[in-house]
Amino acid sequence: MGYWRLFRRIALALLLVGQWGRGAAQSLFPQPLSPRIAKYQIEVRLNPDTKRLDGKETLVWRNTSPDVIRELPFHLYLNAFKNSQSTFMRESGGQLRGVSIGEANSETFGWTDIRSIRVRDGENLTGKGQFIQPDDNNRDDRTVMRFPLAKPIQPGETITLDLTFRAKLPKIFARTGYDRDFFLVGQWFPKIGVYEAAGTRYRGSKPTQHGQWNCHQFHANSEFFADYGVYDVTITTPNKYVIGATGLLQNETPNRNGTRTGHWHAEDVVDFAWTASPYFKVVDSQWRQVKIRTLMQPEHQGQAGRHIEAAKAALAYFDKNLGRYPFPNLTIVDPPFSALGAGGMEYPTFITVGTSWGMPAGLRMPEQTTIHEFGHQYFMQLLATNEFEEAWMDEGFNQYYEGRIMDATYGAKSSTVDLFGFRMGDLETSRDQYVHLDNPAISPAVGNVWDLPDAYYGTLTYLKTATWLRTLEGLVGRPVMDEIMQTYFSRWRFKHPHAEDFIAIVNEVVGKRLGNRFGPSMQPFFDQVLYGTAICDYELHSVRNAKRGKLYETTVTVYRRGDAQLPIEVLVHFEDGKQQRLAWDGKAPVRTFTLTHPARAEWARADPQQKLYLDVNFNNNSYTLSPSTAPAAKYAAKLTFWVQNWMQWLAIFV
Amino acid sequence: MILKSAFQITRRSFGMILWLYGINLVVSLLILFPAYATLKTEAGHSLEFVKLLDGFDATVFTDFMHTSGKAVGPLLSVGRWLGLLYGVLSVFFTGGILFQLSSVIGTGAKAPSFRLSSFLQSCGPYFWRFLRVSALTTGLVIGLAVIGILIAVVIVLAGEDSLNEQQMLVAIAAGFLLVGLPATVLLCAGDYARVLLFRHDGQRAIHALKEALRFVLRNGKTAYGLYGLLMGAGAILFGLYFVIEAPIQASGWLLIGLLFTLQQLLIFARVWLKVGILATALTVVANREAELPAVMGEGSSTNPG
Repeated sequence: MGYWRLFRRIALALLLVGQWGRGAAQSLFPQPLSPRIAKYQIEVRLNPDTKRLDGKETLVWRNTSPDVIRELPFHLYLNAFKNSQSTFMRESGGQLRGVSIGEANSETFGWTDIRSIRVRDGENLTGKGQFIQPDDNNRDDRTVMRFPLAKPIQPGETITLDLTFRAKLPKIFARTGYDRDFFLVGQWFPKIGVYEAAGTRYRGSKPTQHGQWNCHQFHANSEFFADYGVYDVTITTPNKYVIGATGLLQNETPNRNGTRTGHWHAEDVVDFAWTASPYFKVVDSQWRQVKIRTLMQPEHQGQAGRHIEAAKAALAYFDKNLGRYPFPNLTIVDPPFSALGAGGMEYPTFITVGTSWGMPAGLRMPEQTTIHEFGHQYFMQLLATNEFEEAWMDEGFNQYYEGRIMDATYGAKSSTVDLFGFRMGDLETSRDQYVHLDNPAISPAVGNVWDLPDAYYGTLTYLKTATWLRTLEGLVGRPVMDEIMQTYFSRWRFKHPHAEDFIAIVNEVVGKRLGNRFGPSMQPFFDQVLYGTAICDYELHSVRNAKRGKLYETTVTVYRRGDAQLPIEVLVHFEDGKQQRLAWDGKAPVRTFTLTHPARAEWARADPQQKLYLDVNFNNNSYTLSPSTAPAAKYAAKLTFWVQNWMQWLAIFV
Repeated sequence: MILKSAFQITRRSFGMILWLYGINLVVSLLILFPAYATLKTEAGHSLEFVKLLDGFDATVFTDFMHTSGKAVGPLLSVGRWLGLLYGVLSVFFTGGILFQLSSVIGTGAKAPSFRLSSFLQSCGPYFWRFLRVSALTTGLVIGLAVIGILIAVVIVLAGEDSLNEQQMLVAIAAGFLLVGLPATVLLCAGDYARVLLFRHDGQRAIHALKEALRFVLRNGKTAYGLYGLLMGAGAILFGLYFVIEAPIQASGWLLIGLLFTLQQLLIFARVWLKVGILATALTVVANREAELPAVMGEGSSTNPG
């Protein structure tokens, strides 16, 4: 055999091995972590000039319910950006999180189109799909498509579907799309809904005879909900692009036409997103077994360390206080400033952050966003609550942990801002933005997100929830709170819990650790803070002393100004240095304590440790008989100083 | 040499500077006492505000602003108006300042002491012409600011698709510098225009400003350079104040008093600098008199200096 023929045979053998290697991804876990209901194999090609994706998808879906399935609904999320008539666009007015879609034209819009869909070895479903609008009957909304099946899927059976689809990415304003050469590709493929068997997640109702599909339209304020599965995605882009994605890169193959194809593999995840940009600067690090990769914009490369350190802080904190992060990697994507609409978002093992050039160290936006988006790995990914119907279980829980981690890492009073003497902590920011609403009683946070008052979605799901979780922690104590959360996490991960699952855990752990301290159940707490709109405001109204012989009789009066009734402590401090702690169930509109002591009372505090973090005004929680005027003097002097400066600045002009 | 002379005549006018600072302080008392009373009343018997003695506390502050913001708002409004009042007073006093500085030039150790009556007498005649100069320079600076904003908008629109964030910010900063520099030249020229009007008893504000601008541009290193130096000194003093203030927690009356003293020292220094800037302009003009055409007004007298 000539050397040239030998060389060709070796090259062919290597090529075949490479192809085989591409098809068979290395398994990440020895045993599945989740019920892998949906398995996706997707091949996608990005055309950066037309901003289009051409895709082929094979979906293997397993019917794990006891029901016969007669139809399959799919999310086509990108159709939310198809025109101004979609439910998303009508609800958002074309803007989300302060970013606008700009001029409405075909270039800025996006869509997904299923070109063909066929049951393997079975029915051709092409052309049989119907757009449905289960939430609002908006006939112009095309974000859910249903395919009726001639041959239903029996319990325990699987169905394999082969689809081809095409998608046009929108200009980034709501998480996904393009901006110049930057692509953040999220919610881009036809994704099957979640079939919920009878009794699953139906709060307060008896199990029905049959389950039903949970496949909502894409709303302005909703996020997503999907089954766990395995993803094998091959992405083809021009060579110049640096790619990041959910999961791990298995291999990469250069193609003859100036493109290359990467094969990505992820297991036990609910979604797959990816990014491409020719300008990313890659900075790698590691925390224990987790490889951390940051994809930074060149002008932000100096801030990679901030993101990495924040990610490590979050990994360590969650590992210690909630549970293990099971995945081997985390990718952090820094979008360009002009594409900040794609920032601050979470996908399995893949998060987007957002910063700006010259961000001072005392303004911890990069850290806050990194910690927050990583936290979603626990609530969005590992617990995977329904973000359409119970957004607070993801956003609010995550906001609470963001606060805990930020405050523990950077200081409780200075974690988010520490600049020129102005300081603010994370949890206190969450509280401030909720309790100081014009009307904190505007709505409960429960219910479908599109039913919440529009301008209050964020405050209710993120901030009110974080604040009442902090209040729960205050009432039961940090060790019990941690046990509640650890139990919730370990028992419900990969299982899509809902509100009652969490409340049941709270009742179980509190009952076990604290007995009847709060009554037979914590339901009254949740009825007020979660399902209700009760406002918490306790006021230490007065302290009076009257001499009775050698002793003093002290009366301490506490008002309940809000309608929330929560157990509260009162601390009384006497002139001889002694203190007395009193307990009250917080129910009556007013409570007067009468004490007898050898010395006069100097001051008293209601809720001295600020356990009731929902209290809308901590400043009225204390009363002293000798108020200090020093604070008024200090800040009056400061105000005067700045007015004097203002006068001198104006004098420069004259 | 010029700076040294200017410093000397400023120093010899210490009495006047003290008086000017006193005016600033008295005007500011219109804020200090009401602010103290309001904050004391709103704080009531609460213990929470004591936390503010150890530094800023966002929870105490935000709770306070939510319940008592309406009481604090008028104080801020008064502060804004006081600024405008002081501005007008500054225009009024400029005549007296120039008169005092002029009377001190060349007198050495025998500098006449500050007499309030003479000072105030000298303020009146120049008030309206100086007010016209101020209105002109303010209007022109605002015009430049508008141009600066337009330049920034053009840069953003033009560079939207081609510049990255850092490049965009640098371009915008360059744009602002492009208009910021002329704005400071205008402010400098405004001071020189007042000196010219004073020295030549002129009435024509526009003419004086034009001549002053020509003069400043011709003597850029001296006129604008010294002006920039003194403005820079002011900025440095400000920075120094923050550095010194940072470790002072003002957690008790003694430290509050110390902080207040420090603050007033900075204000005094700023008043000194303001007078120093006028003294410098006066000295430069005196040294370069020959370059200036007469800025003739209704009178033909020329003020000494």
